[in-house]
Parts: sequence; structure tokens; C-alpha cells
Amino acid sequence: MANEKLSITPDKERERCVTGIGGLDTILNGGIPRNNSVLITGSCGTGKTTLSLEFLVHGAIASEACLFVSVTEASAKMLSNIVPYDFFDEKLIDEGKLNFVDMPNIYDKLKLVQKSEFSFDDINAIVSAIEKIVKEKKVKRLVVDSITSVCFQLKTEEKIRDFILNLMKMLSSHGCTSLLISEISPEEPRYSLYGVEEAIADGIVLMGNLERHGDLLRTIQVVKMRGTEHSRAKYVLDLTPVGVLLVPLLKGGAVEGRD
Amino acid sequence: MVSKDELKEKLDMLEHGAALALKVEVEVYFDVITTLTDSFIRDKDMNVIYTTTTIPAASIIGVLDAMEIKRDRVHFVDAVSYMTMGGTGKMKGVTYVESPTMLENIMLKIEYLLKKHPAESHIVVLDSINSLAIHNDIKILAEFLHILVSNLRSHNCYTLIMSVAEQQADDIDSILAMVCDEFMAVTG
Repeated sequence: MANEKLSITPDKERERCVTGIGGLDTILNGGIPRNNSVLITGSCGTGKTTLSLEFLVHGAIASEACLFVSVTEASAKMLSNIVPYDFFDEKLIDEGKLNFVDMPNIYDKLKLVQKSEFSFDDINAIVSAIEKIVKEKKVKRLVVDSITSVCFQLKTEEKIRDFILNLMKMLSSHGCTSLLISEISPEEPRYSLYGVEEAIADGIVLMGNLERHGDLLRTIQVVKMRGTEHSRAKYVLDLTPVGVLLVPLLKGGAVEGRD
Repeated sequence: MVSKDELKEKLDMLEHGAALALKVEVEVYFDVITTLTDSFIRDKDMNVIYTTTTIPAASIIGVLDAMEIKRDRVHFVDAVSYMTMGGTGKMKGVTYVESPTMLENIMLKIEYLLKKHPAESHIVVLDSINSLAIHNDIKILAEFLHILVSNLRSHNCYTLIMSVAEQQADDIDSILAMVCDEFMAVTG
């Protein structure tokens, strides 16, 4: 049994990783508690990638090394489709503050490309490969887009749990705050495709499309965030060149329920 | 009650960050639009964020141009052109909202323009509460105005909510009385 000394210090405020997204930092009482791994979950077109990238850009502006791990599409293509931020500067990439890695390249190096299902050893190898980059570049903010795509090749609940736990533990040990993007269908009754991700993550931010009288509104809701008090209300968001903006969802409209 | 000629003087006396409800007779409606736009841009050196839910921005631009009022500091939030399937081609200084029922998106576009020009002072014009009342339930409209005006106050912006005198219902008057600091009726 471990001899680690446990202590409870309820009055001690955890250090925050300020997202730079004004409305979100307000909802979170100052930002994401440092070292948390947060599931950004939602269906397509809800702004998950844009919000996550903005989190990294603000980190890079604040001189923190940031890493975007792209699983589903090549980083270059993803960047070409993103909202052109007024505050974005190419120098952030040139100076190594904002880094992009395509997961297929990691698979390639680990000779995993041909595999339809990863083993526990493969999982360890993937986490180690990401850790190598995190250590080398002293990464303090990381995004995986998407964790669902990685889990697709893990097949079993045990492997998914093992992968996410190992990844989160590794990132936390390096003082890294992370956003793990989870793709779900609009009808999904839970916050992640496999159900495991939401149970393990330190936080869940649910992004959605709310249809009200034929209008489609982009929404965001912090469902869970360990280490801070936060609003659990639903907000409407817009993706703009000055960044993601939030306003409260007006309650006079029809609001759908979720168990 | 003030005449359209006295309006400019009254606007000059407004306190910073005030919210004003302006009930305007139809026959002087365009005169009031041009007077207040000119007054805030030229005399108070402010940006105007003009939110239109009644007439497409292109039509208001036409009126301002005809009156030779400089509009490089007027930014439009147009929530009517999409709905009427009117021209929504990229017009300089105009941001579009799909429908006047998308009240949150109207707030978001105003917020965007405030953040886009952070160093400048702004007045936000809402034209008009009557047309918003056609498309929205009164409860959600009251909630919208309450949040919008409170938010603009925190930005130290003037808010000007216009209404057409001939179309005014009592419940709209009550909402305006609740959220605005001053109420002014403008006649010919």
C-alpha cells in the first residue's frame, strides 16, 4: 500500500488555467483547475474544435507551450477551415509555442497503421509517444481531437479505460491541462460514445445544437468540473474572429431535457 | 413629449451609459434615425451599433447616404434581411442575424462589435421593439431586453430602444419602463 501522505485543504483555491474565452472563464470562476483533463463533448458543427484551438492559442500567447493532437484530419486542413482569429499570430507556431501533431504520424512511427485493434502494449506505446513530445516541448496545454477516434481502435471498455486513465495521469504529472474532444450523435443519451470517458474525466463541457422554433442555436454547458464551483446553466455561443462569445440562453423558449 | 427639433438637445443631456426608450411617430421616424445617428457620431464622437429588425440595413444606409451622414462609424446588425430573403451579400459594416427570433444571436453580434472596437465609445440602437414583439413571445422579449440593457450598462454604452408610437401596446410600455432610465415620445 502506498505511503503517500493525503491531506485535505478545502480552503485552498486550485491554480487556474485561464482559457482566455471570456464567458467560459466566468462560468468556471476563473478558468479550468490546472492539470484537469476535460471532455469537450458534442455532435458535429457545435464548435468543439474551434473552442479547443482558441484555448491553445490563448495559452501560446501567454507563453505556455501548447500541443494539438489531430486524429481525424490533417492539422493543415483543420487550420485552413478554422475561424480566422484577430489575435492569432503565425509567430506562435514559428516560435514553438503552438504545436501540431497528426496522430497517424505517431501510429506510423509505432507501426500501428495496419492494425484494426490496439493491444494494451500499443496503448502504452501511444501514451509514451505523446509523453515524449509533452516532455520535450514542456507542454502545458494539450488538445486531442478526437479521443473518440482513438478509442475506436481500442474496442473494449477495459482498453478505453486504460488508455484514458494512463493519458490523464501522464498529462497531470507534467502539469498539463487538457481538453479531450468527444464526438457524440445528437440523440446520444450520454456525454461520450463509450460511456467510460465521461466517468473518468475531471470535467465535462457539453456543446450542442438547440433547435427552437426552427432556429438552430449553438449551446455550451459545463456539466461537471472538479476543483471549482461553476455555473451549470446553458449558454448560447458564437464563433467569431474575436473568439468564442457566450450569452445566457433565454429561458422563455422551449428547452429540451436531458437525463 | 419632445418635437423632432428638440430631440438633439435632449440626446446631448443623456447621462453616460443611460438606456432610453424612444417612442416615435411614423411621420418623423426617418428624421429621428438620421438625427440620432448624426448626433452621436459627430457631437459625441461615438460608434453607433444599429440593430435593425424592421427595415433592412441596406435601406437605412440609403437614407443616411441621401442625407450625407458619414457612416464609417455605423455598424449594422441586420436581423431582417435573411428572413425576408433579401440581399445578404457582403455589405461593408453589416453583420447579419438569420431571424429576429434569434435574440441570443442579436446579443452575440452586438457583443462581437463591442469587442471588435474596444477602445471606442458606443451607442446601441434597437430598431424596433414593435417588430421584435411580432416575432417573439412577450416573456422572452422582456428577458432579452433585461439582459441586453444590463450588459450594455456594464460596458458603459448608451442604449436606445425605438418604437413606433402608433403600434405601441401596453405590455411593451411596461417592459420599457422596467429596463430603461428614460422614456421620450417624439412628435413632428
